[in-house]
Amino acid sequence: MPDARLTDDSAIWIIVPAYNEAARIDQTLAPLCRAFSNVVVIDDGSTDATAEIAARSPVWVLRHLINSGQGAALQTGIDFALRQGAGIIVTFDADGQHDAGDVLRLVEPIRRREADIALGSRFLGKTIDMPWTRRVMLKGAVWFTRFFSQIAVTDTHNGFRALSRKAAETIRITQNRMAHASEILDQIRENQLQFCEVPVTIRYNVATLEKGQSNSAAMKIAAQFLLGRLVR
Amino acid sequence: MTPFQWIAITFIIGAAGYELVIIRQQRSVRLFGLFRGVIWFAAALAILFPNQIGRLASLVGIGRGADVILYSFVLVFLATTFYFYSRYLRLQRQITDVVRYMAIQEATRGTEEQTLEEV
Repeated sequence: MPDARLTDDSAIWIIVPAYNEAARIDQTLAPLCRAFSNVVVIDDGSTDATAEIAARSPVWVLRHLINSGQGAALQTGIDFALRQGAGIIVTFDADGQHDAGDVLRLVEPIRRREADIALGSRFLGKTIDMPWTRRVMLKGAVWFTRFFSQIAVTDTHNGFRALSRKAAETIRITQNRMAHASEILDQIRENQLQFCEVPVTIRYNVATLEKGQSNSAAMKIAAQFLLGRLVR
Repeated sequence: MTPFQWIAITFIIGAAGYELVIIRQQRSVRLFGLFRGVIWFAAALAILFPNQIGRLASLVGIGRGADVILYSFVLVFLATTFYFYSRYLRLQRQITDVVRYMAIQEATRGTEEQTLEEV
């Protein structure tokens, strides 16, 4: 008999970490809420009305009292979803970069039990209006990760992923800030989780580029990741 | 004594005196107070008897007394930086755990405005 935790769409929990996304959060949530009943927004100590606007949609809203970082917000959402009995957890950026239409394709390998974690890859899929500087930075991040984490992936800092319950219970994000993406890959390797990459579409616009990581921040993320490895 | 030695020794006597006051008022753990006292005492010795530092330098194979101080500072600085960064990260993780706990406890459902406890 098929496991309802895998086949039922209501077993899919979408985790949306958000920081100062008042201008976009409703547009991000609308297609998600149409397709899925369990959407969790983690307002990471925003100074704008992100939480209030999110609360107008049929979603769970969790609020960090202080800004703790995207990694911390993701772990909060994962903890919450696991407690609610989630079968599959999908992480989804709040800034509208990701396409809600990709979610079911992303969870498919987990449903078929081919993987514990499915990683979205913009380089296998499609990027819309991606600046070349961002492409160079992300390619650099891929090589950095391949060297330090010894894991062969085509896209490293893509916030669009799907985790089986087992993977979500196994992975523990301790890197509060943006270095969590590399940390997740580290833990996939260390815990010998089965992973696969799924082509996804990432859409860039002026707002998402302003909000996203600047190229200069990449060095800071790399330093945080390496220092965080020294201090467990 | 040189003018620098007078200034430095005056500063050290002041610092050691302050140390004694906070130990007497029991605002500081006695062991740490004593440790800091030893550091001040060693600094006073190094300033009053620079030649002895020079002898120590040649004893450990370093040319000048000033280099002994410099190398020691570099080592202590690196060790202290690493120690405090570790402490900072651990503290940050503990704060995050508290923030996370509160966020989950006070989760609300949009449009319906109900907490987990009410569900």
